[in-house]
Amino acid sequence: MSYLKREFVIGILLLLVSGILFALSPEKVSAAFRENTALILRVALIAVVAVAISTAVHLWVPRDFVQRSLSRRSGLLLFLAPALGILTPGPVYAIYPVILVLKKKGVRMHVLVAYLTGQALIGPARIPFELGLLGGRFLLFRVVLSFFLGVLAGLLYAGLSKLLADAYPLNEPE
Amino acid sequence: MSKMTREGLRFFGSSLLRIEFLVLSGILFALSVAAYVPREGVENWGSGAGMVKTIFWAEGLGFLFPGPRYIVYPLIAVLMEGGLAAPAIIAVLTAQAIMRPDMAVIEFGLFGYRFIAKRVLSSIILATLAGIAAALLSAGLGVSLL
Repeated sequence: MSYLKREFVIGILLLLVSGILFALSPEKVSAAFRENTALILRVALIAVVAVAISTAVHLWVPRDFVQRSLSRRSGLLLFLAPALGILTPGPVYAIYPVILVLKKKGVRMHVLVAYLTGQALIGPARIPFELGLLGGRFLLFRVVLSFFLGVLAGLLYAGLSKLLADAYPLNEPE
Repeated sequence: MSKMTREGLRFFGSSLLRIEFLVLSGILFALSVAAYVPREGVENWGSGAGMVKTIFWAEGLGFLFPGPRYIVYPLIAVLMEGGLAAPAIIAVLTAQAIMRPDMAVIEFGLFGYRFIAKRVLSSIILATLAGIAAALLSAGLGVSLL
């Protein structure tokens, strides 16, 4: 199932559950909606800003930028990977094909895990949501934390791989 | 109109439809669930000696919350209105971002059970550390994150 279809199914499921909860107690749920109209509008507006930022990144950042950067041989890749992940827009589902390509090119799995973690934790489209709902200090903490958690994710993966090695060696088709 | 402008408008339009649909269904869901949760229930979630327990609960919620990133923010907004503390919010966001049911299924399919076993274990450690780091910063050093 493509990620678009998956997102659509998830959205429909959430609406379905909301409909059931509303049918069970219309007064309670409609009161919650009435009390939070401003919040609903705020979140909807923040989403517009998030999409605008994603569009800008989509247009101006070259698509093969990450592949070129992570394909280099360097001991600093583990630190570069989460930083590149943080800068990469798009849903995490769209990142898996990039990871498969990089894996085939010989990029080590722990570096790819660091990249995946950085990308999943925070990205350009998350910034308006976090800034608008949670504030600047929270966002700053999350960005710094995402970098360190990305590096740590790579190190943990490398450490755990000593106990449970990857099934396939690098550069070999699975 | 240049080719780049056309591409930008097309990307903006399709992304906006997709994301607004997700965000609005997410907030309707979060508000519908919140209508059934007593406000004091969430407020009691996040302070003092119960913080580590709260972080684990929040982490569990994050790991089990399926779907794209945009869906989690309406939930966070509603929980925050209910008084959820910053470390718990960090734990939910971290857990939901790095491992959740839909990601686990895809990663299992693409990279196999060894990969997903290591990813799940490290995700639990990372989300816990993230929550504890936020708790130390806010309670230990007195830095307010929200």
